Amino acid sequence: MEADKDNANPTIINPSDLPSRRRSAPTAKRAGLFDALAPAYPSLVDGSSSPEPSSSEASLSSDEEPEEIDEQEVYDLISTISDPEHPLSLGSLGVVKLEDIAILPPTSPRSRISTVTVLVTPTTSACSLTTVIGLGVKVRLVNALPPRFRIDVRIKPGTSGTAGEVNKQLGDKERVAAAMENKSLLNVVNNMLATYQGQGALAQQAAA
Amino acid sequence: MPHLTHLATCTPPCTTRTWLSAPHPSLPLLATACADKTVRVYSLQNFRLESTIGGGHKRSIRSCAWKTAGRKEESVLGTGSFDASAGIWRRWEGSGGRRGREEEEGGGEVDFTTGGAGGVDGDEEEDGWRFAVILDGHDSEIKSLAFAPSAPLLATCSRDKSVWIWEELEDDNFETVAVLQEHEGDVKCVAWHPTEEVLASGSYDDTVRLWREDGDDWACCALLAGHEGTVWWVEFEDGNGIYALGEREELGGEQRAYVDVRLKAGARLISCSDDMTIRVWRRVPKERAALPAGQVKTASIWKNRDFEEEWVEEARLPQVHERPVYCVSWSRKTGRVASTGSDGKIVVYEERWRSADGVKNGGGNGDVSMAGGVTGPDMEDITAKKLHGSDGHTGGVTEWIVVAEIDNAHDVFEVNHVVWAPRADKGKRFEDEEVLVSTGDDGEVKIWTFDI
Repeated sequence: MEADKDNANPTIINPSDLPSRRRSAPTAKRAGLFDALAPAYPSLVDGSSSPEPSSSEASLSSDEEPEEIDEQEVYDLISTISDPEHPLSLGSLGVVKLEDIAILPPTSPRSRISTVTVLVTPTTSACSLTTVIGLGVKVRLVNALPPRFRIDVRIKPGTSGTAGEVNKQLGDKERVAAAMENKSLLNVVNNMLATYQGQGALAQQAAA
Repeated sequence: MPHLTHLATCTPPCTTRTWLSAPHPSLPLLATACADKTVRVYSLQNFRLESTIGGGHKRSIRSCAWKTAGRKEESVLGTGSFDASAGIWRRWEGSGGRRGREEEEGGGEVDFTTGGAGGVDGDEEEDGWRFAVILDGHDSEIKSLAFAPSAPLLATCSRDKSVWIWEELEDDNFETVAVLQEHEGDVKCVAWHPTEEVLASGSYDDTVRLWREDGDDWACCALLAGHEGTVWWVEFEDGNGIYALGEREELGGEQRAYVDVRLKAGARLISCSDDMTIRVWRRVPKERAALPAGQVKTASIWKNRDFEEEWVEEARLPQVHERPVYCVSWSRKTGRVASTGSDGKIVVYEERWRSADGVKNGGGNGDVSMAGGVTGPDMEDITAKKLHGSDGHTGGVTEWIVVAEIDNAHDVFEVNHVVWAPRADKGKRFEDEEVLVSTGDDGEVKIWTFDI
């Protein structure tokens, strides 16, 4: 067994077998998604947050789109993230799976906050790599989803001995914010996220 | 029915996340720590940007704190940054200085000229602020800092799991007095006791530690365990907090006994956590037992026993938050507690005497008020604990109830910080009126009045 790669021969799923849908529902997005990975929230109040909305979004105002964001949308956002070790996507490696994504609606009529929970199945038992993968997923979702979503990225129970530690780090907003100001870590995460090639309005804006 | 009303939003807001706002100890000013590496100083009179402090840090400013002791004519602000350094900034407020000018002009003028520049070209003075000294030492991001109220000490804490204590010798000369490394995870917050030289720290390791001097060295004198998640914020109550509960003469025997315990114990500590609970901790005052006849007092043994302190969890506030609680603020004037967190709510609580027959105080309409708190763990001696108020979960002498709650305080964004501040705008209704200042991920600092 190689010391460096605990999972030298991962199971690879054929991309065409991954869950998808023909057309992603358009959702309103904020500007500057990939300018800086540290989450920045321009004011949504004046509606001028998106400098070049694609045509399908022009008629939608931020945060009031009637279409709900569903698990498939979240999956599409994260399945194409590259694994830091292998030249493959997290979806192909089975690190993220559609059935491990859950979206919880607001807990009361007065609250507008929804929660997205993503369970990540690590390919390796190396804690630091798992944390980077989790961080990549979290950063992608924090930047791509509207701010009314709280994002919980956790290691799937039973898949790793260090899950508790990793979960606590990923759940610590201050640590994540500080990590995203760390240049070398930022580079690693940027590389992971650079392979995003989804379909739909979201991807078009992102690729621009 | 008490409620919070949005009074104003400080303008212009920041375009990046804002972490914390600190009210000036004597002037109607607020310093807000921003992720864009600056501190914005807003006026509490007109809620406009008064000055910007920048150029001293290379990464987000996570925390800032005013020095409370010292000369009234000089404002001293400490900044704690993710770049692992702390900055000390000074501004002269004496007559003829900036404050004098503002008063003459009715407080309307706001200087934006240097605000955006950030002083990156090395300007020493910016909006009157002078970058006096940089404190290096921590290995990683500084999370919080606090000046001691009655000694020339500054505490800083960091992700490197340590708490540093600095002593200010003369102007711009700080010396490291202690590096305290007993936490097992990031230290998220530090707070000084109002009257004693005791420091509290809250950590990623789910505990709170108290520190004070043991002879010449600083050491940990108490470990408060119980939280089941990162402790985000700790704060002591005001030294006179016990008087918020009411006059002593009207109290019954049990209540008087409790007041005695509280007076002996000193200021209590409040903490909030990832586990969504807010807990109040109280010191157990030491009973000095008389020595049996003939026994010689052994210096070292007694010294150790005297140094360590025992603290118990006195109460848990009613659980309202549904996600991590990032901050609590204990009002110096009224004893009310405000809390906020990831769920975007701001909640205000009050402590009251539990009425004799167990029925809760107040209107009883049940809409907002929730009596008591979460039922605590098993208790061995209920009677004794009831008298000393040391469990508070059930059968405690006092209880905490929710008096106001607001959802979506910063729209859908998380709220990072909340603090009580003296009201200073034209709408001020009475002496000692306070407003609540909330600081959020949306870059906004919002001001709320508490209306009864």
